[in-house]
Amino acid sequence: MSRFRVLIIDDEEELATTLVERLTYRDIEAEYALDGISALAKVVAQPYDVVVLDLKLPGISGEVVLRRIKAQFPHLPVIMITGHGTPHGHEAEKPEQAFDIVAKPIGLDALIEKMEAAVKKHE
Amino acid sequence: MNEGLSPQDRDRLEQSGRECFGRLTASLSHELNNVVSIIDQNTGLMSDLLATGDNPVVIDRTRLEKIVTRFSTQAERGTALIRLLNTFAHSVDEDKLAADPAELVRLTQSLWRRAAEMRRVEIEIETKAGGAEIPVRPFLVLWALFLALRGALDKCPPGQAIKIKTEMSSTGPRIIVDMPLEGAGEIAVSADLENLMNCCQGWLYTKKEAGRFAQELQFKGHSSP
Repeated sequence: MSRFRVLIIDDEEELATTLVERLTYRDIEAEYALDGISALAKVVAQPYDVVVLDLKLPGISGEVVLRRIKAQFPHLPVIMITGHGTPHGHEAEKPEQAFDIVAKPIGLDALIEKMEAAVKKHE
Repeated sequence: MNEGLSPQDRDRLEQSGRECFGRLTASLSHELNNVVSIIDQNTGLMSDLLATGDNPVVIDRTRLEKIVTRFSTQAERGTALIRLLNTFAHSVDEDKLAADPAELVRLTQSLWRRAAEMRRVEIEIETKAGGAEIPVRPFLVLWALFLALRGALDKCPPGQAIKIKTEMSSTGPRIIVDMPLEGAGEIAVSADLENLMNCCQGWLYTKKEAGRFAQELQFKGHSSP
């Protein structure tokens, strides 16, 4: 029995697949999408408890994907990922509708804590 | 290099040079961050596999090979990015007073690869004037291409290509940034680019014809290899 379902949206395939693999080890049901269009199709097709979304995506940007997800599923929490290199600068990048934002490289335990907090808040 | 400009134009041009340097290095650092992130997650995955509790640890060979391939791919990618960053950083060196347009066009294609991918646009290059030299610092040419490409990339329809060509004219080498105009709307030519080309003792020409828009950076003077 998984703890919750998460969709990872990042165009870096090796990052997305490794995250999915590691989350699965921790009894978290994880899937991934490499761009905004396929991500939106997945979100519509099946229920997720939380979404982890990269700000920079090819084609439709992460912010546009966030707005479209929130327009259809206002209660689905979305955690943004950013490649902003500075330790504290990424907080300013968090879009208003996002639950939280984490900077790359992502600490998995910290990400899981944020996902759990997001899921709990929206239960 | 900017003696003929008004103080306002000079300030704006200098700001544009800083912006060029900042944006391109930021883009490379973002990509390096992705490389580090992948290595970091795969290190974590190895730790996960080692923490299974089995002694001796049994790891599926195919799975291990996959992780090793990821490490190796990202090490190669990181090395290429560091070389690119280093070459770009040295383009401002005081002792570099000549630039090979073909080499700089190739460098520009690499520097802009990720930004182009993000917009689903291709940057194609054709470097016929290889070996010729422009008597300016390499950074000035990269900066001019930054200004020409920035506007073009925003307006280029997804799925299409921006072509950067080098050619030799009777007055010297020129670099042409050519893009499809169809559906692109009006393209504003950068005043900073015009000022920069004047500072390089060159000219900027723009051409709109047959559904295409071209910005030609014409440089004066050259020396053959």
